[in-house]
Parts: sequence; C-alpha cells; structure tokens
Amino acid sequence: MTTQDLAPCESTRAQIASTVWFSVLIPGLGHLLQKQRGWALFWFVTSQFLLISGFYLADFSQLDYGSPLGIGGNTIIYFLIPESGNFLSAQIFARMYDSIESGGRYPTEIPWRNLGYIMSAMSGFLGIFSAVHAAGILSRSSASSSHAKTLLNPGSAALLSFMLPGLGHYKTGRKFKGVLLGGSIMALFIVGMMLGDWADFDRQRHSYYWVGQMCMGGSGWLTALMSEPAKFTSVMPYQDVGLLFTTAAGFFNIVASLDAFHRAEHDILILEPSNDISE
Amino acid sequence: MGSPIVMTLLLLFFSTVLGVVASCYRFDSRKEILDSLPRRTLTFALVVAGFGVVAYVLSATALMPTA
Repeated sequence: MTTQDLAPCESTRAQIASTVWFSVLIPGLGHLLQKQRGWALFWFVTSQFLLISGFYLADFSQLDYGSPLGIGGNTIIYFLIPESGNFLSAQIFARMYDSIESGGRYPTEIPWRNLGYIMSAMSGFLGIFSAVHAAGILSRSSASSSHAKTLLNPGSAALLSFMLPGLGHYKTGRKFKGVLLGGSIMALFIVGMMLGDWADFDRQRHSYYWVGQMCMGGSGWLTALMSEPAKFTSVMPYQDVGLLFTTAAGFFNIVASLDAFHRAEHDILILEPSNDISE
Repeated sequence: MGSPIVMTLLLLFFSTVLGVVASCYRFDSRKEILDSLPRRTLTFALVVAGFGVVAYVLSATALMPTA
C-alpha cells in the first residue's frame, strides 16, 4: 500500500455517499443526519437566503439561462447551473415562476440582476460545498486516533481553498504549495480579467463561461461585484484569451479544492493504525 | 488575430499555470512539484502549439473555401 491508495473504510464511504446526496438535495440535511444541528442550520439558512434573495433581486431572470429536461412533455429536472447545487429549492422555484423572457421583459430592465445572479450562484456553490463539508466531518469523525480528530476537517480545507485559492493547503501546513497554487491561479484569473478590460464577467454575454468564472469562489465573486459597472468601449485584441484564462482559472480552483480535501483527508488517514504503509 | 509573440507568451503563461496545477495535484512536496513542473509546462505548450500549426496549415490549404 502507498500513501496514494489511502481511503476511508467501506462503511464510511457509503455514509459519505448518502451524506453528499442529502446535502446537495437540501444544504444542511447531511449535517442534520449527523446530528450537527449548528452546521445544518448555518448551511440551510445561508444557502436558502442567498437563493431566495438572488432570485428576488434578479426577478427570476436566472431561469432564462436554464432549460427543462424531461421525457415527452414532462419536465423531470430543470437544468440550471450553478443554482442547481441547491437542488430542491432551485427545482421548486423553476416550477413556481416563469422566466422574464416569457413575461416579455428584457433582463437589462432589472437594475439588481447582476447582484442577484451572483447571490443565487453563491447559493448553488455553497450547496455543493455543504456536501463537501459534511463529508469531511464524517471522514474525520470516523478516525480512531484522537490526534486525527484535532486536524482540519477536509471539507473545511476544500472550502477555504475554494474561497481563496491555496488557503486550504496553507492551513494544512502545505505553505509552499498553497502559495504556489494560489498565486498561479490568482495570476491567471487577474491576467485574464485585464485582457478583457475587467468587463468580461457577464452572465448575459456568455452564460456558460460565467459559470466557470464563478468557480473562482470568493475572489471571483468579489471581482464580479466590483467589475459590474465596467463595460466594453472597444473590441480588445485578446479578450477571448482573457475569457479562456478566467474560466480556466475557475476550473483550476475546483481542482485545487479537490486536492485540498484529498490532502487533508490523507493527513487523517495516515494516522490510522490499519493504514501502516511501512510494509 | 493578435501578435504571434504575445500569443506565444500567453500560451507559455497558461502552460506554466496548468503545469503548476497538475504538478500540485500529483505531488505534495516542494522538490517533486518543482522537478516535474518544466516537463509538464513544456509538454502542454508544445502540444497546443502543434495543434495550432495543424489548424493553420489546414485553414490555408484543404479547408480554405477557395481551395
């Protein structure tokens, strides 16, 4: 066995799978099933507040960027990323409200729509990361070593890396890796934004790229807010390269978050007596 | 189309970041990450540049509408 092969035991993995599913369905539900009532309340209230506020501010025009998926004339799910990370609530809203387009209004008539888009997207991402956090709690609580229980929750490491690239690695003692990874991803994102004159972060212009850009987490959300007034005044020579850079930076940030989870989980698993790798 | 020099520099920059992400995902120690970084960066940059050359040649020959 090598350190790369370390994994939680089968029963823990089964528990993690069900926790992830319940957490994505309703953020906080996975924590509630683990009797983590404080965390359950936090994730539920935060994600639902962001989703409802976001939909309200944007007058539900997010639904213009999604589409119903189903068989025949029956809609099974409403495909809307990233809001569907908060799955059940997003599905309910998609069935309760029509899109603005079908109502005959144009999205630019809604003054707070960009703030609404950011808030509802945050809700979707936080819904997914509530599942990651719940999985991390399970992974750590299943450790037999008392020292392992004092280590950083892998879910928190992933969330920290998501909010600020490299932070999760830094908090688990991987300072060089955290700075290198975080610095590189942030540099790619900033250069990309500069190439697009800080104006190419717009859901209406390119909704799928926008999802990738939003994967930058906290730093991306802040940039989206701050760059909201910026508009193109001319065609930039490398704006498409900039769009590619910012979107790729978002996806790289997800990879960094996954790695932060994996490394933090590894720190816990390596302490298990059953995982002696000296043989 | 932008300047070929700027495009090459941007490709190298992107390849370096990709190399960092791939190396950090694969390895955990400073030495392993830094040792594997140049190879990954160069591989990606050469592959993308290769695709670029193929696309350019095809656009100027077989895929040219007037060909």
